[in-house]
This record gives sequence, structure tokens and C-alpha cells, in this order.
Amino acid sequence: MIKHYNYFLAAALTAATSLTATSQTLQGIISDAQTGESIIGATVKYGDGKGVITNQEGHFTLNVKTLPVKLNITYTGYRPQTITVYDEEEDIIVKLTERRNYLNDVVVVGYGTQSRTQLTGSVVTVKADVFENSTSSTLDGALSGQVAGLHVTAASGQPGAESSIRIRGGNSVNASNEPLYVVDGFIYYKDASSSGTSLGAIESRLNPLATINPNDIESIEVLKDVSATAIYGSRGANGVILITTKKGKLGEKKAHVSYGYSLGLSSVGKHLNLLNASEWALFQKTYFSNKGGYTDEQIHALGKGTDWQDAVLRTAVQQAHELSVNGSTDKSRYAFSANYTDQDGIVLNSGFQRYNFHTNAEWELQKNLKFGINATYGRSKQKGLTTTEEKVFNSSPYSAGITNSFVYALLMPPVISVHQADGSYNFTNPYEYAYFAIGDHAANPVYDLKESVAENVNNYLLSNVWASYKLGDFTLKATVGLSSEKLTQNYFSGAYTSLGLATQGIGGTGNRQTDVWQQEYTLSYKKELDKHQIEALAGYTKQTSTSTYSSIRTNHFTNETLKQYNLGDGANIYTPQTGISESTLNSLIARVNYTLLDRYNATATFRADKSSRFAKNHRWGYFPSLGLSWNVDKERFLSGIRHLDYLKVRLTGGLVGNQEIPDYAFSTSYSTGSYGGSSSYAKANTANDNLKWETTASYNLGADLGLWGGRLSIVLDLYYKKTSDLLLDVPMGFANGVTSQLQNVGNVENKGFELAANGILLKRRHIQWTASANLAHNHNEITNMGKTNNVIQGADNQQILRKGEALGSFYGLRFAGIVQQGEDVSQLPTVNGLTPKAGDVKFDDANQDGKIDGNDRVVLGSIQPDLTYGFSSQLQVYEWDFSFTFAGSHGGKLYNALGRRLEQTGDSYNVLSTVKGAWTAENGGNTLPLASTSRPFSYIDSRYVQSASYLKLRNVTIGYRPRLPKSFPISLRIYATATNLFTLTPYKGYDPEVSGGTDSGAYPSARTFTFGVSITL
Amino acid sequence: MKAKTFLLAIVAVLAWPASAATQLNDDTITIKVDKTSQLLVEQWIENYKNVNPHVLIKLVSGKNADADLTLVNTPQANGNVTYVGRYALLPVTSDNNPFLKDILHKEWKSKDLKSLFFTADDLDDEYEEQVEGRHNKLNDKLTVYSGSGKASHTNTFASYFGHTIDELRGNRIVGDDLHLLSALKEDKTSVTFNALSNLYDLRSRSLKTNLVLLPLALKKAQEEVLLSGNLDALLNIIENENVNLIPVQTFGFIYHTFDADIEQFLRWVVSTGQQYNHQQGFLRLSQDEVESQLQLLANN
Repeated sequence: MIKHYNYFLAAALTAATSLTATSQTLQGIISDAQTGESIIGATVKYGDGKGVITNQEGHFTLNVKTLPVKLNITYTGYRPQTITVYDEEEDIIVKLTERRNYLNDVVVVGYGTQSRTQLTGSVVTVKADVFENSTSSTLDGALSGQVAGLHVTAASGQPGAESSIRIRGGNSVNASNEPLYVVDGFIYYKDASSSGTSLGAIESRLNPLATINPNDIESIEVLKDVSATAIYGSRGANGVILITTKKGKLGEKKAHVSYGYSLGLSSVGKHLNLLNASEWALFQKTYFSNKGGYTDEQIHALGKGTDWQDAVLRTAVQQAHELSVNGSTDKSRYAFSANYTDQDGIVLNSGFQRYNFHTNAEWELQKNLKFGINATYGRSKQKGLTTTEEKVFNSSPYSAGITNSFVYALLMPPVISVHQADGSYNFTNPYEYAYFAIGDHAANPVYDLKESVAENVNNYLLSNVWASYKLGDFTLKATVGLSSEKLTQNYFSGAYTSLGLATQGIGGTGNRQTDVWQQEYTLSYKKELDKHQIEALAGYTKQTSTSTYSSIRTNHFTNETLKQYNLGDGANIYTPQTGISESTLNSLIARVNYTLLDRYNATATFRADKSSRFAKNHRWGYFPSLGLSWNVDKERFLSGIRHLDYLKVRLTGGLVGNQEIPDYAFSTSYSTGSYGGSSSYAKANTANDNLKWETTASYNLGADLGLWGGRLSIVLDLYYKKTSDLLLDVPMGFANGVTSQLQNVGNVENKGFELAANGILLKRRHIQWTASANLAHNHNEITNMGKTNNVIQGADNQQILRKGEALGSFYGLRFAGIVQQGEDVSQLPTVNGLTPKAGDVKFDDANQDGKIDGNDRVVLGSIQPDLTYGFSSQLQVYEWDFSFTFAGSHGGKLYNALGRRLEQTGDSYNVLSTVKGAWTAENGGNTLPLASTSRPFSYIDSRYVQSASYLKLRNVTIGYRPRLPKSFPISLRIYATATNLFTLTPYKGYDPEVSGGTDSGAYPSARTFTFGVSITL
Repeated sequence: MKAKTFLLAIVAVLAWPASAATQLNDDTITIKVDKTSQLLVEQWIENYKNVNPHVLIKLVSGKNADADLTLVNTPQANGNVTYVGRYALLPVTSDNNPFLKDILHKEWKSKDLKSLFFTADDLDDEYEEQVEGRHNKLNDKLTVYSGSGKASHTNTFASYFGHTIDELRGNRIVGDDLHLLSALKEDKTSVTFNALSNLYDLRSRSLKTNLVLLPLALKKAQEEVLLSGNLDALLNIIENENVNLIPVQTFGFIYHTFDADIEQFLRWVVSTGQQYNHQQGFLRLSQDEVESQLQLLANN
């Protein structure tokens, strides 16, 4: 008993003394002084070099024998801090201040992150404030002008419409030139063949990026050169855009709840000047048969008449609600957001709606084991215009430039009213005899737009789950995800609409279900030794895509009440269209990053892709790259330069590929139809057993320079890209049964430079002013076309693919003026065998054979701009903030097909007021010929290949954050934004930004004024 | 056997404080204070007990100790607080600072104090300091020490000069601000700031030996009082005149429970107890503040 008692006593004493004298436990937390976010991995050193590292929540615990004790706290990119602990009455709370240095940034790269000091590739980061200051409903709208070498061209002003994004020019002719999008590390794959349902008749397509709410974005990394993109191998040729969505901040226990509301009003940015009723009637009387029989008095009394342009345009309302919640617990973090956008278009009955829900959460299930989920669910609906493309009645209105009801409105004679005296629609138009009238009935564009249906509805789920396990210096990660989209297209044009006149109404509906499964398994390794840092990554990824579609159309309706929801009412049924396509892509990836002495960096990347899209023996593609960079500023010989913050030189080279072509393009295929009441098959494609990867060899030399204590940073890149084995639709002879075949023919080169500068003009406690500018030049040239040269493209044969010229080159006659009275016409080349007379158009006889024909066509420029540039600035003065963004493009051309149509004179349609300056015997004139019903020459000419240069004020924002009493714990911001406030451009159409290079009556862009409020709890 | 008894006694002694703390009578008012204010609070308790001998009041300490009243050195958004006095802060160094001559040669204006204690206010200044070499040479030679944590007066000092505590230069200490004076002993180049109650010898009413105040750019009469080293003259002038460059802040008790005994004690501190503030190096509340605090207590 006594013995046991002794043991107890000894144990108790030991415990008591250890509590009082031998050790004290100190606990603390380290966070960022500005953001409050926990700093993971900060080093806390004490005593004789002992140290601990902060954990996932920024916490540290250490045992010390005596107090006081001095702690040295360090973390890369932050100012070190020394703390002496005298007692343990309170936990140690350390807030570290970040050093201002561009190279301290950590950037997201493919399959990981990397310190900018170690980066070898050309990567530009766009931060969340750019998207917060933009009122664009899609991220591409906000990116314009922000990144050197990234050129955004909106397809049209239609809300929710797609844009064309080019990073360092276009590489390909028939394969996609769009960059690859990766959302939170997971590829958001938009199949080249999955954007329609084979229905037709709907002019606009939904922007694939409409599935991502810009307000969910924390940052975007634009990967431009091969060292950065090669890890995406077959899909890296056009550049890669990495999107990182907002997450809860670890260590910040308090949940943040934000709500934002914005209300905007849009109106057309520019009106075209058309003839009013008096002018048009006078014009008719002067040059044509005066169908209206107007006397001079009546003409004067007509006044302005009907402004059809105004009649189909409107002031549109848009509103958006944003709700987001994010936060963290000890072992997890989460973010959730909901967005509702309702944007009316400025053209009647058009608009865009979106519901979007996004969540991003991760948990630390066990020590070293993490699990996460990212999911976006939403529904986008776009209401647009029906296109006249498929209508062939008398002749094709589409070919004649009347591409949709909006364009038709511009052509409507202003002497025709929208409504009759009783308020009903006016379907009487005696001037219409060509395309849109049957008997007494003529189309009315206002009715067309209001009553026709042209909808794209997309229900989407983008989701992935991942788990990672850290084992020493190794991390295993597995990700599985599904991108599932169901696109529904509806259209209906009733018997009184332009499209439905000939068929007593036409309607259809189509569906496409696209499921893309992706799996990724990676093993990464990271080790820091004294002078060496090494990171390695190896993995396997697999992507399986399945897309099915079906569509049906009928016409000849007896009851239009339910429109496309009662297609059975249509007496004539078109051949139903159904189909399926499947593709797989198996890939092996590997990357090694090595850094020596914090100065010398190397990145070697390799990817092997096996794509089902190519011929059997050509499915594997191998894409290596090597990048080197040198932090020159860390060399001793530069240490004395006081103004220099950092200087880095980068050199990269490698191969990337492009596989964005339709499935089965390598095999023979047939399309179904009906012939004489029976089914029929027609050859759609002829096999090409040699179809293989389009590959782009890319080289980049770049430099990053920081000066004057963080005041100025400059990034300069020079690049050269050569795309070989171009995927090109080569025209085929009739013997093949097809008009063209996809082959690997020719080369395209892109070379240029990019310069970006960011400056801090003023940074005081309550006043901060920053500015950014970027400039890029790209030279694009087809350097090889194989045996195929001079491929003419476009509805008006307006473009050409030719060796030595750029992609998207315009091809036509060079306008030489108007034949004047008394001019010696004997010296002029003949046109269609006739000698021109006074008032006729003159063209350059390029081949000097004495006649004007197709052989006199020359290249008239291209869609490729010589320079693209952007400039933005942000000013914050106490509670006020002000920002603006300019974007510009110089040297590109655009074919103004709408202008050509609207300057074509006749006795049916209205014309631009410029026609008042057409040549007359009395007044002369040297731009437009004598008004007549003659159709324009069959080849386009240089008058309508117009400069697409522009400088746009994309947005101007002014905001105010009132100081609220501390007892009112919310943050409030009120703001007003003007979008597209002005455009300086010589272009004569609505807007010089039209993707594809042909403005055949694109939906005009809007000027928008938005007012909003955001509240954060 | 004797040894065992001795060890048992040690264990009992070691174990006693924890058990005693948990066995406080429910009627005991517990108060948690920092070391800087401890003497003043003890004096209040002692004198309050003289007139209210039945009331039990005890100071408690420790990271996890709960108390009825907790002394706070900054104004609180929460309404459950009674302000009981004010404190003033002065910048100080030690008399064996090798740069003392330069320090005393200078008349320290607001701009100089900001430049010494805080990181650059803007990029221009920072650049000038770091790159252009146009930095203040004296500032670079001195090491700033400041406190951290809830009990520290650091927040008051930083706020007075329009900064946050994250923007203080130099080294931090964790613990009571009294320990900042220990830092002065250990690092000869150090400068810091502290409350008058820590800076002055409360018996002799003069500045503690080895400490030297930074000469502030005050009005002549005020400067003379500061240089005289007399605590009472300094307290009087701060209370009665508008003195720049000396941060002054109220401190008070947050009450977690509120009953008649606590109210009575707080009423006494706000009124009668004020007479001891000067004695312990603190400023009294103004008459308006006294009335306002009594009114707030009456409203509870």
C-alpha cells in the first residue's frame, strides 16, 4: 500500500512540476494583415533555430521552457516579424503584411499553382475586380482590353450571344480557334459540334461562357505561350483560360453573406441614317416609277413617316440579383452563390435570362486527406431573331442581304405604316414584290419580331468531385466530373411573317444532349532543398463525350395559337433529323519544374493525346515543351541597381495541337433526306485515312521588369507560332460525291509582340490610383496551301485563303470612282462586255486585260488587326471609387454587307441617306453610281471592305461606400456604370465588332447605364 | 515519511490556486485586469471595502479565467461597459540608447512620430525610404517595440496617429505593456510608448530611472511640464488643457453579469474612486463623463 502511495506521489509531483517549470505551451494564429486570410505554412522560429509551421488554419503551437521567448515569423512574399512573448495571458495573434512585388504572386497553372518567380511561361492574371466593375453577363465581355494579345470580338449585340476570342491570332482555318476553358482545374469542354440541334432558322447561338457567372470568379489566368499551354497538349494551341471561382477563406470563421442588385437601361449605341418618308418618296419619283403616285405637295406632307429602325428598337431593361455566401470552419471551407439575370434586348422580343447556382466546397476529412466538390447548375434562355437563310421564295432574300427581320425593318419604305388606322398590324406594302409578299399580304417586320420565336434554352450541370491525399512530399489527386448540357432550340414563324408567308407558317423544335465525362488522376511531388526546388507532376486523364440530337419541323399551320408547342398542326413534315456522335480522348501528362538558387528556373512538359477524331493510324499526338527563365535581378551584378525591383527573362518552345473538328471527319458518312416520298441518302463526307493532328510549334521570348518600388511593372513578349498540317476543307471534284474534304494541308504563321504595363500612380492611405495599358501586334500569314490555293469563301465570295495572305482576307474589286460626264470612256475597261457610261462605277483593271471580271479581284485587307490595345485605370478616393476601361483595335477590316445592301437603290426598299449623294448629271458624285434598279456587281468592291479600327470606352464606373456606424455591421456599395459609352471608328455600320468579318446585319450593340447596390454582411 | 509529507504539501500548494478559483463564493465580484491597471483597481477595491466591508471582490487572472468585470483599454461598441478613467501614452526610450543625443536634439512633431513608429504612409515615402536612400537615418537606427493583444494600449496609439496596429514598424511583444519597458533594457536602440502609470515611479512621482521621454513639439508651458518629469503636473495639464501629440483614451469595465453589488461598486469607482486615479498615474473622467456613466448605470 505504501509502495503504491509512493508511486502516486512521485507521479503527481512530476506532473505538477512539469506544469509549472519545465514547459509552457504557446498558441497563436498568423494571418494576412489586409485580407485576414490565414497564412498556411508560415515559419515560426525560436530558440536555437527550432521552428514550427502553421497548419491549414494558420495556427501554430510550440512548447518553450522559459519566457520571454523571441519568435521570428517568416513567410514568402511577406515582411518578416519578430515577436517577444513575455506571458501567455492571450493567444499570439500575428498579422503579416504582404510585400508589394508582382513576382510574389502565386499563379494558377495547368494542374497546379506556381510562384511567379519560378514561372517560365507567359501567364497573365485578371483579378476579380475586373469582373466586379463590369456589368457584362458573361466573362468574355469583361475581358476585352484587359490582356495583351487577347482579342475579344462579340458576335453581335444580342444579349447572351457568343464572342470570338483569339489569343495571339488565329491558327486554324476549319478547326476551332477558340481557347480552352478550364474551370477550377477542370476542363470545360465545348464540343465543336455541340452548339446546335440541326434545326437552323435561329440566328444567334448561346454563349458557351453563359454557364459561368462572372461574379463567381476569383481570378482568371490566361496562358499564352507553349510552356504554359503544352500540359493541355491537343487543346492548347489556341491558348488556355483558367478560371478560378471564389472560395471560402480558411481561418476566417465568420460567414460572409453578400447580396447585389443592379438595374440597367440599354439603348442602341448608334442609329443608321436612312431616308425618311419625304426623302424616299422624292427619290422614287426622281429615279423610279413613283409607285405611290405622289405629287410634290404630298411628298412634302409625308414628313418623316415611319421610322422602322426606331419601331423595331427599344429601350431595354436589364436586372440582376446576386447572392453569395462563403466561409470556413476548422476543417472545411465553402462558397455558394445564386444569380438571376434578366436582360431584355434592344431589338423587340429579344433578350437573355439566366438562373445560375454555383457551389465550391472542400473538407479535410482526415489529416492529409481532402475532399472537394464544385458544381454549377443553371438554365440560360436566349430569345433572338429568326434568320431568312433557309427561305427560298422567288429568290433568296438572304443572298440579297435581307438576313433577318431587323434588317428587313431597315429596308421598309418609310411611307408604309406599322399599324393600320384601327390599330391592327399593317400587312399592306405595295412596294414589296420581291421576297416577302404574297397576294395582298406583305410581311411586317414589327409583327415578325414580336410574334416569331427563335429561342435557345440550355439546362446545364457542370460538376466534379475530387480527393487528394498527401503522403510526405507526394500528393495523389483524383478528379471525376461530368459536364451535362441539354440544349433546346425552338422557332416558329406564323403565316403572316416573312419566313412563314410562303408556307403558311413554319415551326420546329430541336434538342441536343451533350454529356462529357472526365477523369483525372495525378501524382505530384514537391521538395525544397537548400539551393534546389523541384516539383514534378504525372498523370492520366480521360474524356468521353456523347452528343445526341433530334429535331423536327413542320409547316402549313391552321392554328398558330400554341406555336412550336403544336407542331402536329403543321400539315407538311420535314424529314426529322436525329444523330449521335461520340469521342474519346486519352492523355498522359507529365511536368517537371526545377529552380536553382531562386534564380534559374526550368519547366519541362510532355503530353501524349490519343483522340478518336483522327484516322486510325494517326490518333496519337505528342506535345513536348521546354521553358527556361532567369531571375536576373538576383544576380550579384545587378544588386546595386536601386530602381530595379525585379527582372526576369523567359524563353520557351514546344508543340501543341488542335483537334477541334467534328467527330468522324476521317470516315465516309451519309446524310438522310427524302426524295419523291421515300427516304434518301446523300454522301456527306468522304474518308481520309491520313487525317491527323494540326500541330503548332511555338516559341516565346519574354521579360518581366519591375521598377521603382512596385510603382511600375512591365511585361514584354515576342513570339512566333507555326501551325502545320492545317485542318482545311479542300474543294473536291464531283467524282468524290462531296464538295470538299477535311485534309491536313498547309501552314499558318503568327508572329508578334505584346507589351503590358501596370503602374501605381498614387498610393496613399485614402487615395489610390492605378493604371494599366497593353498593346499587341500580330502578323498572321498563310505560308503554305499545298496544292490548294485561292479558296474562295463567304456568301458573297468575299474572302479568300491564299498563300502569303492572312486568314480572313477579303477578296474583291478595287473601286476606282464613278464615270463622270465627258470622261473618255474609251480608255475604261469594259464591264460585262459593255463600255461604262457616265454615272457607272469604275473598278481597277488589276490584270490590265481591258475588262472587269473576277480575275481583277485583289486582296483588300483582312480581319486581322495590326494592333490591339487596352487602357484602364482605377481611382479610389476615401469612400469613392472610379474606374474606366478603353479597348481598341487598329488595322483590321470588315465587310459591310449591310451597308452594301442599304446603298443598293431600287423601287422596293429604303436606303441609307448617303444615297442622296449618288452620282447625278447635275451634281456629279464619286462614290455611289446613278440610282437605278441594277443589281450591284457580283463581286464585292473595296467601298464595302471598311476599316474595323475602333476605340471603345467599354465601361465607366463610379461607386460609393458610405461609412456606416459600427453598430451597423454591413458593408454597402452603391455604383453606377455606363457601358459602351462611345466608340470612335471610321466604320460606317452599327459596330465594327462583328466576329467572322462580315456584317450582314448583325444585332446592333447597346449602350447601357446600370445602377446597382451591393451589401455584405 | 517526512519526505512524503513534504511532497504531499507541495502537491497541495500547487493544486490550491486552481481549486480556490473554482470555489469562489457566488457573491464574490471577480475582476480581470491587466498589470498596467492592477494597482489602481486594487486601490479601488481596498478603499471600497473600507466602506462596504460585506462585499467580496477578487482579482482573477489567466487566459481562460472568467470574471464579472473585465478591464478594457479601448471604447467598446457593446453597451455593457462603464468607463472608469483615462490613460495617456508617451513615447519613450532608455537613457543608454546610443542615439539618445540625436533623439533629444529633435523636437518630435506628429509627422516625425508617424515616420518613426509606422511603416510608410504611401508608396512615395516607402520608395524614398527603400530605394532612393532618402530615408530618415535616425529612424533606421532605432527599433520600435509595440504591444499586441486585447490588453495592450497599442491600438490607441496607432489610432491616434491615423494608423492601424498592423502598420507599426519594428518588433512586437506579447504580454502586458509593462513588458515593453523590459524590451528597452534588452535592446539599447529601442523606442516604445507606454501609459503614464508604467512610465512614472508612483512613489517619487517622477519618471522611472533609465527612462527618457521623446521631446514632443508641445506648447512651451506644456513642454516644460513634460520635461520637468513631474507626474502630477503632467496629469493636471493633460486634464485641463488641450495637449497635442499625447494620445488619451478612456478605459472601463465590461460587465458580463450585472447586479446590485456590481452596480454599487461601479458607481463608487465612477464617483468616489476617481480620487485615486492620479495617485496611480491615470487621468480622471471629466465631470460630464462621470454624470453620463452614472446615468447609464441608473438605466440598467
